[in-house]
Amino acid sequence: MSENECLQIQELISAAADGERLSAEEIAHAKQHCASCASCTRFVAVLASIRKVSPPAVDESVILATIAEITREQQAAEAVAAAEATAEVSSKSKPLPGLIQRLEVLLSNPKLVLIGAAASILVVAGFGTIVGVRYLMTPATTSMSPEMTGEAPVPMSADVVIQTPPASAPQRAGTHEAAPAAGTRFAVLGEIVYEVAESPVLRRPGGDSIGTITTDLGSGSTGAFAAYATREAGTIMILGPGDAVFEAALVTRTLEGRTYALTSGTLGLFGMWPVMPARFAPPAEEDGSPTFEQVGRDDRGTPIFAPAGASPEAGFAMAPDTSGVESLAGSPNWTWWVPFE
Amino acid sequence: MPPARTEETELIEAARSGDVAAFETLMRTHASAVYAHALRFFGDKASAEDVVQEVFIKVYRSLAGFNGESAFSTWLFRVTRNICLDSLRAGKRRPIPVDPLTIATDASPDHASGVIDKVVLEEAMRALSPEDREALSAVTLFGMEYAEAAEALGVPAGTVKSRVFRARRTLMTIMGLLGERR
Repeated sequence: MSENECLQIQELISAAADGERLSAEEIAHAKQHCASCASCTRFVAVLASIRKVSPPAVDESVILATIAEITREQQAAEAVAAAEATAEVSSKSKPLPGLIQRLEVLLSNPKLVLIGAAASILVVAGFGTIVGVRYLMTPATTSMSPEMTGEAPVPMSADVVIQTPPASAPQRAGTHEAAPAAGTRFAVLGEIVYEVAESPVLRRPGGDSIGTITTDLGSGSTGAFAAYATREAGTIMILGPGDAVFEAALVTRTLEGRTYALTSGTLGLFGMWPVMPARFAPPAEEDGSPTFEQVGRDDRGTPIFAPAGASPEAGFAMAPDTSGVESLAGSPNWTWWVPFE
Repeated sequence: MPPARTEETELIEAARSGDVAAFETLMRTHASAVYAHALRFFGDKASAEDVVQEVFIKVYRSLAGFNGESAFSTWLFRVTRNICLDSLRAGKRRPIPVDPLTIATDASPDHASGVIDKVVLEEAMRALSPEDREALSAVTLFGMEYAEAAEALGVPAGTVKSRVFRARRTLMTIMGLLGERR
């Protein structure tokens, strides 16, 4: 019996096992061959044994996590659809005739008009007082992080919301302007900025704990979350609420082949732009003066800046909206980049 | 056992109109095929689980575009294959290398009982060439006919037949089941 003939027969048997239709001739030939060939008989037996082995099954937790994610997505879509439907109805609706008549009665009675006006003044005054008190009690926000000042970090509870100060054009190096609608997803660990992935991953953090990140992870409520190292350089994992795990990656540029990472003071909320370290006064001019001077270009040809006389190897600044990093597009702030080992 | 084609079509229709429970039924039917394919591709449980999640979220979002011309499992195979290849190309995940010689040394098939060691078989699967493994995966995990697998893989049906057969022969050889240990 030639080896070639055995291989042809075994290929037929393999195809038959997969439900492929064989001709009557092929079946008869294979049967006849196997009756006198130990090798092909063995192939049939082993093939049957292999086919009995069930493939690895996925953990139930993976199915549940995926369905939970899809349910959240579905509910969000339904909420948006409902809101859009409501808005459409509202825009089409007209004041009810009865309501107009009641308003006419009210306006025709001078006493009721006076009472209404007084009530309005009280409401406006009360609102103004609340706003004023809140303004006075809200400490001025600076771009300085506890890490930069050397102060002990203030413990954050999950329900503390960091105030986002309004943007101020001349102070571009230190503003925390809200991002455009798409929203930024930056978080800071030890002055280094990480961009947090949109969806949680199923993997559990396997590396060492490397600190705590103060962020809202997009929820609007800032909390302190544990960060873990991963096997991939420049990537960390953040253990968020409900044990959701988010991957986060460095934001980088290169200078002479060396990687530089974006830095910032604390960014407690998604939607905040990275800011320059507080030790640098915001440059007044586009050429970086008086704080910086242009010291060259990075590997993509973007101008980089450093304090007068300083080498960019130790760190460099980039002008607003020039980093070439997609997620930083539109940022009004100067940025500071440091070597990443 | 996968649901009948008409039953599956009804589930897809229901899922398309926002019925998450129907989608869960579909997922439970096919999740292990996706998982096994990804596990054999990357050799890493965590990566395979991530792929399962990515695949089914993508499938859910793309249900509107599924026209039903091919079987759901064929479409699912395509999505799974693309996600595995894309994450490999993007450097997001890397397959853990496997040494066929180590597997052959470890394998101790029980010829008398005909029982195959599942762990060794899975390791041997990982030692197959990517082309042979994905052909075998399309046919045995996703239940595709040779013609369907041929379309999904962009090769003739005869090539699928050869690759599946070669995959099986290689598995048996690696595991020393044919008395021809490498």
